[in-house]
Parts: sequence; structure tokens; C-alpha cells
Amino acid sequence: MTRMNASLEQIAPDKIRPNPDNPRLIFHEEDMQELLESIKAVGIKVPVSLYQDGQRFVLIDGERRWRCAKKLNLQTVPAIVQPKPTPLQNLLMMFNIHNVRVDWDLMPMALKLREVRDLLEKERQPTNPKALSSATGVALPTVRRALDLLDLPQKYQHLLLKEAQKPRAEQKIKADLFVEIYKSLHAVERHAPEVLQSVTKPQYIESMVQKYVDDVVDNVVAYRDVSKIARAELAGTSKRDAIPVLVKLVRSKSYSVKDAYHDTVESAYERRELLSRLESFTKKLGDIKTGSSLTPEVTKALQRLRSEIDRILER
Amino acid sequence: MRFQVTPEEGQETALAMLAYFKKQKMQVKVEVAAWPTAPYRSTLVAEKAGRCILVEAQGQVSYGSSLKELVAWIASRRYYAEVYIATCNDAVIQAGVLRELKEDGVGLFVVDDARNVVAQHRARNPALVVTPEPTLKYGPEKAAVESALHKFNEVDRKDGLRDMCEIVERLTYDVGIAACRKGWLQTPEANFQQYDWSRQINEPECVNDFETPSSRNQ
Repeated sequence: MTRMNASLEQIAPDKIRPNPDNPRLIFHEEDMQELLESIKAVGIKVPVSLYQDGQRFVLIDGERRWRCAKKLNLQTVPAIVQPKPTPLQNLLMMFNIHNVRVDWDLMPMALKLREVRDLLEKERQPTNPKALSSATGVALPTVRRALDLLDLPQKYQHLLLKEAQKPRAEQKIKADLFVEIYKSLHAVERHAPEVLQSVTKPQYIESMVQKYVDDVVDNVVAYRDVSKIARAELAGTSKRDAIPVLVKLVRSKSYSVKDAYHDTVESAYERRELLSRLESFTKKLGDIKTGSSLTPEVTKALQRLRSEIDRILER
Repeated sequence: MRFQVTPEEGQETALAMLAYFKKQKMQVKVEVAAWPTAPYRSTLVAEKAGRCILVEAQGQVSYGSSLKELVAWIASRRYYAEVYIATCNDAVIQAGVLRELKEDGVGLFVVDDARNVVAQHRARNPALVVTPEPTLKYGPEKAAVESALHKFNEVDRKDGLRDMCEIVERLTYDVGIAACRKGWLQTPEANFQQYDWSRQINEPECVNDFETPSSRNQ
């Protein structure tokens, strides 16, 4: 039977199955317990949404409610039964309904985005990140980050899916790690491509992941310093000095990003930062009119500054 | 295999428990109600020879009101069933939760990294719980009877049963000796002392041997 309109019905939870296209593959204990207690106390107040597929029903919205209903052995759940969607409609509904409520883990979302992209391609619709963002309702930067993950070797994709199964507090390897590593790799490709003549891209990624796993790198944002090293020339240092250091960073297990940054561009960036602050400070001082009345604290601080400047310039 | 409604943290434990019960040749049902009107579905229901073991697989042990209701529901019906929580080796268990589990007779299985299952403490089977008639008076034996009952229901059934038997044997002896001394039993006291318990308990049944003043007048 094909349904044309939605209807409110009471359906046995055992006749319902979860939607295979829900990118929220992972349900944690903490998410479930509170809802379980609430449903036990007051029942299901908001119907779940389903579509009929043969003798069974498939969830569109309300997987947590359905899980709780099964646990509580409820005989029926209130459900809005909708007409069966096309595969693309189903996927897009999953994105539009669920993603606005709970942040999905990026890797499961990336896998579903790939399916959306394939289905859009079949229908000869645009599949660029902007089109994917507008079709799914996922923010453009998130779509870009998710698509980057699809380029990861299978073993890392599996690793991310496995990690996503752990409670959030226990996850060590997260999508952010790969996002940062990829950003740094893109910077190396663009600004210091010579590095990739000595090491391959998979070697680079493997080495950076291993450094994080071994705690040689303790923070994912540390990889941003690799981009700074790759852009050494912008900081006013020689690229020739940076390239061997980047190669060493890939090859040596114990050599951290912090070490590499220190050995190359740290002082140049510090100088640049100092210059920028001095310029801004000088401009601020220039705004003070001669003869202006200054508080004793400001006068004292300026005197200290003058003596420091005198000391540095004399040297 | 993945369990459909079991949270992620309980999946591995549930799998290990499933393998454990199958190894014991038990019939295992997954995420179904053990009885049609039960108020809660445990992760697993394992059955063998009429004995039913319900297991709730959890990452971190919690004893919520839904599970409590199931335990009370089974207890009130005196079903031949045991409820266990199964968790992994590195789970943190609050002392208060552990106390509640013990009080309610909920057992605890712990699955280690090598998927070995250990029953940390055993569940109480409500069908096997003895509840004496509450109006019964035990007199000076009150403490001994209560202690034996507690042992039987909560700690060690064999040990509790032994204690109960000892109470019955001791009291049979005392009653028999008293009856001999009062002349209600024809048997000489010295002979009665030599009897084993089955003869001691049978002796007063024999009409020829046992006569109270009232029975003598009949």
C-alpha cells in the first residue's frame, strides 16, 4: 500500500526498525537514561515519525524515543506514518531533522554526505560543497571538513568510527585531529612542496597521527605551527632552512612540532609580533598630545619604558 | 553483531555475555521482554531448565528506576529468575549502587579484557526465597531462626539450610527429652538420647509410646 498522506497511529515498537541513513549511528548511555526515566514517568508525548516499508515501519524521527519504548516494553508508540520517501529525500530528511538537534560525529556524517553526493550526481544536480550544504542544512565549513575526511585512508576512517563509539570524554582520536593535519599538509603542499619530494603524503599523515597517539604532540592545534613553518618566507626566514626541518619532523618519531617550530621560525614570528605591537603602541603614543596631563601611574610606566628603550638601543 | 537498543558502552559487554551463555548451552534471547507484560526489557534473557537469567549490559553501572521496577516486578511474582547487571573490567561502580544491588538481590557480572566473565556477586532468585508466616512466634529461638533465614535467602543457601536443620534437630531432641521426663513418652530417656533424629521425630507419632494426660483420658 502506498500512503499519500501522513496519519497518526499506534504502532508496536517491534514493528519499527531504525533508519539506516541516520548518520547518528552512536547512542550513548548518558543520552538514553534521562529520556528513559521521562518516558517511564509520562509516556511518549511527541509521536515518532515513520514511513511504511512492506510489513515494517522505518524511523524518520524519534530513534531515541523508540529505543526507550522498546526498553520499557511499551506495547505501542504514537507515530506519524508518512508516505515513503525516495532514497535521496530520506537522506536529506535525516540531515535536516537530526543535525539541527545534536552535533553528529564528523566521520559518520561524512559517509552519509558521500551518499547524498552520489544520489545528487545521479539526478544531475550540483554536488559542490555549497550545494551539499544547502541541500543538507549543514554549515559549509562543516561540509568541507567532512569531505576532507573522505580522502582519508580507510584505516583512519575506521579508526574514527571506532573512536566515535566511545563516550565523548574518552575519545582521543577525533575528526579535528585529521582536519588539522590535513590543513597543515595543504600548507606544506602549497608553500613548501619540496618536502613532498622526500616524504610521501601518506607518510606525512601517518607520522603526524602517530605523534599525537604517542603524546609527542599533545594538542591538535599544534599542527597549525607546521603551516607557519611551511610559510617561513612570509615570516622573513629562508625556506631552505625550513624544508629539512619539516622532513625531519616527518621522519623522526620523537621530534615534536614544537621542536620544529623552535628550530625554524619561532624567533622570526616573535620578532614580527614584537614589531607589530611596537607599531601599534607607537601609534597610540602619537595620539597623546604634548603637555597632556597624565596619571602618576602612566608617567611612571612611560619612564620605565624609556629607560628600557635606552638600554636596548645603547647595546 | 550489534545490539539494536543497547547503548554503545554496553555493546562489547553484551557480546561477551552472549558468548558466555551460549558456551553454557543456554537459550539466549536478545533485547526482548522475558515475559510479555514485564515493565522492562533487559539486554539478554538466558534460559536453561526453567531457570531464567536476565542481564542488563552497561558501560558504567547504574541502577535506574526502570530496572528497579523490573526487579520488584519479578520478585512480587516469585518468578524463577535472576537479574544481573553486566559491565566491563574498568567500570567505576559507586558504593551506594553496589549496596542497592545487593539489597535488591541483583547480581553483578564483570567482563574482563579477555572477555572472561566473573560473577562478582550472585543474584537472588525470588522463587527460592523463603518467607515464613509473619505471625509465627519463635520464642527464644527467634534470633537463631532469623539468622538461618537470612543465611538461606541472602548468603549461602546450603549453609542456611544446615542451620535450619540443626535448629529443628535440637528442638526435636529437647521436646522428646521433656516428654520422656513427663512420662508422656513410654521410651526411657536414655534410649531416646541414643536415637537418631528420624526416630526421635517419629517416636511421638506412635500412639502406644506417646500419651499426654489429655490423650490418656480419651
